Amino acid sequence: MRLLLVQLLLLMSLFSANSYTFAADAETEGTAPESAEDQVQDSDDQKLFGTVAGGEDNSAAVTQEDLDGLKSELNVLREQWQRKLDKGTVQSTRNLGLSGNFQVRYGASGGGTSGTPVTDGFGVSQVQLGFKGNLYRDYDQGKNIDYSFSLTTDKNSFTILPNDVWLSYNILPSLDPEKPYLKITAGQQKKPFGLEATTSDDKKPTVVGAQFASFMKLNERDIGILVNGDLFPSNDYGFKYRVPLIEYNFMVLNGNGPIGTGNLANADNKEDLLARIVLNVPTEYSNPLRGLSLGASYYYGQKIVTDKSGAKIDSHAERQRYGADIAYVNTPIGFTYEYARADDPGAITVNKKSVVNHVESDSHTFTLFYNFGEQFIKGYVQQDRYDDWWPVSYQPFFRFDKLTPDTSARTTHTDVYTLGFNLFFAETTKLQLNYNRTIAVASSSYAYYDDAFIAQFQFGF
Amino acid sequence: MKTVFRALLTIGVLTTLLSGLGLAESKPKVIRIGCTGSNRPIPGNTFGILNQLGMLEAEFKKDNIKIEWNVFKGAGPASNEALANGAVDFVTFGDLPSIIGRAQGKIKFLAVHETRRAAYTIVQPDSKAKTIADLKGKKWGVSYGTAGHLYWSKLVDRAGLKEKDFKAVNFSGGDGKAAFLAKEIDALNVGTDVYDYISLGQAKVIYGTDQAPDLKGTAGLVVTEQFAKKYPEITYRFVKTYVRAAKLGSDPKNRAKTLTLWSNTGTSLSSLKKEYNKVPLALILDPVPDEYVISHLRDGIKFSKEKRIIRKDFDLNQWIDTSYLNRALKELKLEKYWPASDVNGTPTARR
Repeated sequence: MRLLLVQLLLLMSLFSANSYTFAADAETEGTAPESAEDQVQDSDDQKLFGTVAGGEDNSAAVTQEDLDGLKSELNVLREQWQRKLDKGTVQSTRNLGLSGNFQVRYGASGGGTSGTPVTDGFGVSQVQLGFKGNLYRDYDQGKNIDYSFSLTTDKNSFTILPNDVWLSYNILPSLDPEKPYLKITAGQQKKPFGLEATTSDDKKPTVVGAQFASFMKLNERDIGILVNGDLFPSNDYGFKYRVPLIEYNFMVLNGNGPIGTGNLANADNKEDLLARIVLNVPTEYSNPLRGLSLGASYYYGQKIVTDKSGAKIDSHAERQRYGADIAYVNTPIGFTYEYARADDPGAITVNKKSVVNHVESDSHTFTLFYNFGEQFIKGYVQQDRYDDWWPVSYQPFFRFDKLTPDTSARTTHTDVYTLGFNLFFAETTKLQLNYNRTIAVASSSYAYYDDAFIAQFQFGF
Repeated sequence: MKTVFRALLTIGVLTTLLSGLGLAESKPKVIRIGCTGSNRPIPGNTFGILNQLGMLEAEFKKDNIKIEWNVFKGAGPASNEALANGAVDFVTFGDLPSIIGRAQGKIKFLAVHETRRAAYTIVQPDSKAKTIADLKGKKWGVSYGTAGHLYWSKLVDRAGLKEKDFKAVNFSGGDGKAAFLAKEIDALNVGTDVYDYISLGQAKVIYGTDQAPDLKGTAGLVVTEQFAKKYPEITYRFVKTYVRAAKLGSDPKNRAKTLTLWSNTGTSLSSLKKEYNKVPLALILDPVPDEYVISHLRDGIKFSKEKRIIRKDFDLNQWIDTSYLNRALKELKLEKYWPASDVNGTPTARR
């Protein structure tokens, strides 16, 4: 019995030694005596709390007078806000976002090659103003109706022209990242052909676009209906990264260019067709293959061909474009390569008779870039900060751009080598420095050289 | 061709010079920290104490090392993205994002940032739903890839249902709150700010970690393996300062001031007082990964693999590195300061 009692007492003492006490003096439990140095550290750390409020007994209650004063101040504040809203704020009947994009440029050219796009001196190369918003927001499934209307200036004459004028509707729900997306857009918009033509100016590394985009008129807006969507999305939720295996675009368009180019109506009375498909590598975010994609584009249209006097030779001459591209857009390194080929009808004289002749052209565009900084990390730039902040990022790059206007005469081509550097130093601002060497080869032994330096300051809101 | 070659060579040289490849440094110029904020650019818990009291700035001032705080609105997924792109060195985030981060990247778990993180499921004040099953077919706001995602996933599993039984709507940052208050969704998972919703009559709670304490979350402090390998002593000093901050917050005499600091994140002081009523902050801020934390993380890894949130498993023992923490505890004589909680979370004194 005594032995049992002793054992019971021992067991109780063991139990009480294991329990943890969260008392005010818990910090002294089980710890070795503090040295003088430790006490100084503790004291210094404790002083850090010195200026923090709290811990005092503020038992004074709020009086009715305090409450009435607070209500009165709130009423005054509300009236001031309302007055400012009524008089000093732009009103809109629908959700509206205002944006702008501006380019101020300096160029210096060695001269020589005809057709060089660089004019020595300063210039405002582009002014764009846009209005974008939402006409209907579907909170349930995200089948939203959005709109866009923007104005731009013609690069040569500074004439103000409509740029984007479209309405879009999400046919399939857009809120569930696990499901495919499908959208229809009607109006004047970009043609979804390849990489160069679809990249907005603020995201292009070069100041001057690739030659083929303007030569084949792929960088122009057009009026039509675009259906675009994706299939088989995979999600890496840990990085908020969604990548569909397949992206597709189908467009039916006039093929006459944007409003303001003189052809409002569909001159040949036939619609053009455009299709693009992109295959993305469905990987986790951290996979080195993230950002790798293969794309193919095809354009079919018809065109009125006239002779020198303006008489029609063929009202429905076919024209086509083919494109293939590969892109690897990752951090910090990336590259894009795009091949484009065009088949355009034109008029030639054979035996004193005007006939349609098809000329094929093609181009190769390769861009290699390297990013320093966090400009392109989506989650990183969405930060809470009290100050006006944006990561400074640098992007050196190299581009090779070759255009052969007539593949039956391959010894005639224009090659543009660009060495560039982009500096991103504010949220919507970048400085672009480009050095272009243009080599226009007229025959295998004859070439014009032109060196040009362009600095462009691109900013927007 | 020559021109192409010359151009590429120039870029290569420029790139090397700018990136400083091959140049060894004994100390970094800046220590980049990533953490989550809700309404304001101020983190909570131990990082909140470190941030607002400037403890890291004071510690590394003599080395001319700048401290850069990055408070991500996108929570865990944004932290993982920053880690994967080498944009941050130290990060605190919740259990699921840290598990995902480790499954895909090279990070070390150094210490616990928060344990017993509460979560609640709220519904509209006029909702007739009383249980999770009542939410079948309803719109439920979820932040995929965050600690809230793991809570939600386990909750659905426990109710014997599937995630597809609900209309899960993915939100990040404050978008979920805005959607809930606009009555665009029927349910939402929230944390300590639940009392703000209740006090204003904006929601009612139908389930929470009060009913299922094992669903409470854990957050950790991680560092990139690259940083720890290159700057081991800096990593140690960081952890030591972190432990000092955890101790300050754990000290009962600092309780009121600690809660006041945390209220600067945007969660009201009254909410924090209600949440931590009768809960010693030492339990929440305990930096030592004990059995309670380890079993929670192990369970999280297993669950994430089953749900295919992560594709490959990993060894927890290879991930957790308490060498810096143990050294700091020893130097600060705090080896037995915090309790050692068992698997069920019951605190006992360390031997």
